[in-house]
Amino acid sequence: MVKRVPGLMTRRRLLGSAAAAPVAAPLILAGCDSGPEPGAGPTVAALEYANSLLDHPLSADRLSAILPAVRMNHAFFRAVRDLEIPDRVEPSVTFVARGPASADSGE
Amino acid sequence: MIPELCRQSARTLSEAVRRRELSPVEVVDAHLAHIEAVDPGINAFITVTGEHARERARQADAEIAAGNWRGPLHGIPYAPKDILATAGILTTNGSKATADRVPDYESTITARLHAAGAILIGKLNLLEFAMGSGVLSGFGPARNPWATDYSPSGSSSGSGAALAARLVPLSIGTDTGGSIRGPAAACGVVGLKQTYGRISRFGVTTLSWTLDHAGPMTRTAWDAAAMLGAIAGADPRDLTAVDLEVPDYLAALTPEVSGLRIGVPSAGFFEDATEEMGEAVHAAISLLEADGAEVVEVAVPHAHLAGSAGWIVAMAEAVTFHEKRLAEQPEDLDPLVRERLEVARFYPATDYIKALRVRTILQQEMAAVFRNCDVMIVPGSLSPAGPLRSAEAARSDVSAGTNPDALDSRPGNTFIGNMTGYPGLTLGCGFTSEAPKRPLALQIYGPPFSEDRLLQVAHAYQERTSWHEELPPI
Repeated sequence: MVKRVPGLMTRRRLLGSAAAAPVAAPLILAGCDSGPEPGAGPTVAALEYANSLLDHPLSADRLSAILPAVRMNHAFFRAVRDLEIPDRVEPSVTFVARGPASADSGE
Repeated sequence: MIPELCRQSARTLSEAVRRRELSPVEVVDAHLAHIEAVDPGINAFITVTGEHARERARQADAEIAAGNWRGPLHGIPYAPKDILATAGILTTNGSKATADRVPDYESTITARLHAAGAILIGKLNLLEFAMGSGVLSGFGPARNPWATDYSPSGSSSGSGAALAARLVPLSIGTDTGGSIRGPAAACGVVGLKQTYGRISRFGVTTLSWTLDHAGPMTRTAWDAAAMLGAIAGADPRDLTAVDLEVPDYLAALTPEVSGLRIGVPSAGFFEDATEEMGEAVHAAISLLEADGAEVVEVAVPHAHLAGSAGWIVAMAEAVTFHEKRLAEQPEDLDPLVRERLEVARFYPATDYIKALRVRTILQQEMAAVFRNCDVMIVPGSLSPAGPLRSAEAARSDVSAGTNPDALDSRPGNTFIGNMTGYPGLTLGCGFTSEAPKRPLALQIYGPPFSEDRLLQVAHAYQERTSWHEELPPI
């Protein structure tokens, strides 16, 4: 029913690249904003732009501090993003409790 | 050395109290003395409500002497995770940000436990706001009684540790991605994440509205059944708490497993478990099979996505709930909480909605599983308790020394219960052969509102084994 999009990096490889990035935040800000690489996750510029849209934007220090975690999350979420889901599958906001018969609620 | 009285289950204590062979005052005093002697090395308690507990014990004693026995929890001490509001009593969420908070209202769960006669003996440590590092959370890490340099897992860390150390016979944990069942597995106790809607969440500090559950943590299935019976049911203050009859969970507890259909998934749950964990779970299944249960193969094809999709949902909702706190008190937060919340500010709405569509898929697949079996058994966790992390490593999900595969093993085995709302119960099923000796655990899933069945199977297993009676080296 649900397929992966072919040709994309595996989650483990993406995680590997995320983990291989320098952990020291200033180094990342100085050295990693050279454009997107496959699996590298969001660029500093992209994160700064997204930050500018927030009501309470993060400081430059905090942005650099969380960038490695943003990238790791990005890699982690790839598995969800890569899914092709049939149009008929709607989001479930939560489990709808309707009693024992709701074991069949997903049909 | 654990005092004899503290080694007893709530059931044993309750039967003695009911027969008036034991006073609730003696029970409370013994546990308070044990807490005083042992907890400095475990750090399970944030608050000990000694005088409150002694006063309630005297009241219970008088009521029972007058013939007004309220039920199996009457006169028995309990301690909830310190994320449940208790009126007039410190409720810290394990955080410096709310370290002085004293609610003027009572959570539905604790109100119902008090109505059933249970005695609040204290409030238990946790990973800050149910999502912190533990190590750098507001009150320091709880320690695993089986090996105090090891983690009791989280986020209901104090609950798991206190039960294993016999500091209290009954607890309440909360579970958004596995936070009842993880500590239950790491500490070798029973943890029940019930069906979403079976228990009110009123008065439980939110981590994620659509994933949060609160439920019993105990040492035996019988004790968990007694607690669930006292706290389940509709609540006008939580509209997700379903108006459905609460069965007599204790009446369901038979040792019979003949005819029970146990689903064992062909993929998605066992592969990443340690060999010893997998063997212990399969040995437990074989034990039940030998007594008449039938094993059937089942499939949850997208189980591997439960962890990543669940994490998106949990953190997107968490940052919404904590938005004001994050803006105003970021320095008061555990560095890991702060990082996780700040990162979640950059989750696209499309990721969140897609994760909710994955939830639909998982619900459909789990519904299909239970058309072919009564329960599904999987590892309670992928590995036994690990060492407490260093302060350096605890600061970030991307810390020096962090295994990049760590994120890959975010607990899909447990998150699937939160994503689908289906109930899961974890209990010990062995110990590691390697020192230090640490518990191994299995998890039993069932269809919605099948808590009676999960408790019955867990009870039947505990009737056949004695893992839950082993004592940690404290």
